[in-house]
Amino acid sequence: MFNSFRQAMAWLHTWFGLVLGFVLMAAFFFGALSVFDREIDRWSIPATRIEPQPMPSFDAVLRPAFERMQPTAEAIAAMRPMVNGDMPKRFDQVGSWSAYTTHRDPVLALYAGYDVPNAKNPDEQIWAYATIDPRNGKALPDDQLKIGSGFFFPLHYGLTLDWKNLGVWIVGFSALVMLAALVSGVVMHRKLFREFFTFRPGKARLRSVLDLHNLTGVVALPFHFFFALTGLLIFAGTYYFPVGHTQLHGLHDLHEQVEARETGLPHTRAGVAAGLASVDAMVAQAQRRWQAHDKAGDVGFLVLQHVGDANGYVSVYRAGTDRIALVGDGIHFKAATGELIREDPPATPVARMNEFLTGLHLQHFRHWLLRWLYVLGGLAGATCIATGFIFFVEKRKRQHAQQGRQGARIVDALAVTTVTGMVLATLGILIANRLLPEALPARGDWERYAFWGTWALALVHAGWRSAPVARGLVNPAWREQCWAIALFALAAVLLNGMTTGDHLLRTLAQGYWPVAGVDLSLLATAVIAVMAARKVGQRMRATVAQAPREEAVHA
Amino acid sequence: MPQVSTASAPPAASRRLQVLPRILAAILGGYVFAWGTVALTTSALFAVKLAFHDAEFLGALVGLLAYLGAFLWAIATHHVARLWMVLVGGGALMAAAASLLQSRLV
Repeated sequence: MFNSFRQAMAWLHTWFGLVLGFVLMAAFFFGALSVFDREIDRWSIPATRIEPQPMPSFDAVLRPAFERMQPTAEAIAAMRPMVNGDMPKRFDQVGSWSAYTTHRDPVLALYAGYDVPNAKNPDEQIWAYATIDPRNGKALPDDQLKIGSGFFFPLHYGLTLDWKNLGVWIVGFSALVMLAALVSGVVMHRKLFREFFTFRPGKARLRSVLDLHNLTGVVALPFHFFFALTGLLIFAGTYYFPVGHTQLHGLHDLHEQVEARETGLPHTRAGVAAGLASVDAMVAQAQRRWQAHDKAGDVGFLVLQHVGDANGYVSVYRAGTDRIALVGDGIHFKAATGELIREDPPATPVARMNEFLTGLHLQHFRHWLLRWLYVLGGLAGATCIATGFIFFVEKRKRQHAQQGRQGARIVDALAVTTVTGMVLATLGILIANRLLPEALPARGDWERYAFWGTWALALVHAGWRSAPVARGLVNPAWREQCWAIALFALAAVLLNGMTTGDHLLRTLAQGYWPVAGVDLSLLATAVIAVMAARKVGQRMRATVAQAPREEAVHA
Repeated sequence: MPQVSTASAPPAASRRLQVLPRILAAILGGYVFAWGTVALTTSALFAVKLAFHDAEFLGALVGLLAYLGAFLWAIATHHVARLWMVLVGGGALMAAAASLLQSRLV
């Protein structure tokens, strides 16, 4: 079908890149935003704008908070079909209590799992969630949407399409196509190395777009390849190739039996009630043990299993802020006595490789410069894909105009929606977050509607204004949406100052970077959008001058 | 970027007809092949005493790269019948071998 390997690769690059590029844009852009998800959370939930806190005392702060927790009415209603007979009023048999924090979290997430009496599946657990202020244990509203970690982050890997994990599959397939596009892109360009240094912004439009496409693709090639591959690896065992849960279930079970025997950590309750020794003392011992191995002693994850039972145990895991690898270094204690059961052995070489690769993708480490490089890498990926769209359109636009075909016009409208429309949707949810009344029921849902609604409007607008492309001209929606981005970004900054009092003068003076950083990034977005709008305006005037018969349309 | 359409390329309609089986082979055949690779690599490494999650991780890594290779090959090859045979037949064979190994180990 193709005359040469290179031609086949060009076809694959063009068409798979076009179809899945729209998804990849979202994965790259929201992935770049997720690098600062905790900071965006602070911006969107003003009540949590405090300094990051270490894991608080279990005995004084966490235990009372855990004891107050119960599943919500919705969770109980959802569990009802899984149970024979009536649901209890309270759930008292605690399967597990756990608390999770990172070096960027001022608030602490608590999870409680309870055994469900008369459940059809004896291993069934019902879950309760809480967010607390770690300084005093006070419950914070848990129903507010964490726009960074609770929306942009899942959008990045699953498009928030939860039905049958459809979004995770779509993004996964797009990641595979990203890998294929990178390989085929390299095959297409023999003079790969020269393109490292080639950018001719003044050259003919087509050439400069292609230069930018190659530059952003080639310079960040290892970054793009790495993130697409590790993204797939992180989900491979759970979603894409769950061999351990399906075909090789037998091997997995065999491994679990061996592991339970080796680790001495009980899998089930003993059925004998038992007390709880001081967890703070266990944490202190764990920190001494880490220190002996020359490791930073912040606790990231604390888990109590089989609470109140003689088989209960406490696991203390380290927050991996001091290294790239996503490590746990778990240390486990008998809950009733505080006696040490086990210290996780050093990881095997393969496990270390896994920890390093996933750690480099998920970045729990403390390194702000590297964090910003991640953002740049993500934006370079988005730029690479966006210029790919534009190259596709510019190359075909005149030809399609002569032939009366609509292909370039449609792709261009979709590109507008994906590039400027996506930024508008992002700003839309931030604006809604500041405008919606605090006490609005299901406020988080309304914020989501604002996001998708803005994006849908951007699509309608891009389609409605797309007619000039069919005549070989520029879609004015590019410029108009750039202006809208500038306005929206300014509005978000102003609304934050007005509704919370945390305007830039104050946050900068106080050095409260999570909120100041989001505001400054919004202002930078506005400036870039104005520059882009003016640039597109110049280009539109230039093309109109070339095609005087179109003047009436743009006057 | 080299031009996709050259003078010697077939007309658009027949091109579309030719390209569909390749896309299907790339996506579905590639998945079957990748699944087989993941399963066989995992069980084979487990059989040589690697920890299960280590074997699983390496299996996924090798399988993903196999998927990528299958994907590129499916678009580029001249022999569509052979392509289907290797991807689906090879994938099924590897999966069967993985199950056989498992039955020996458990």
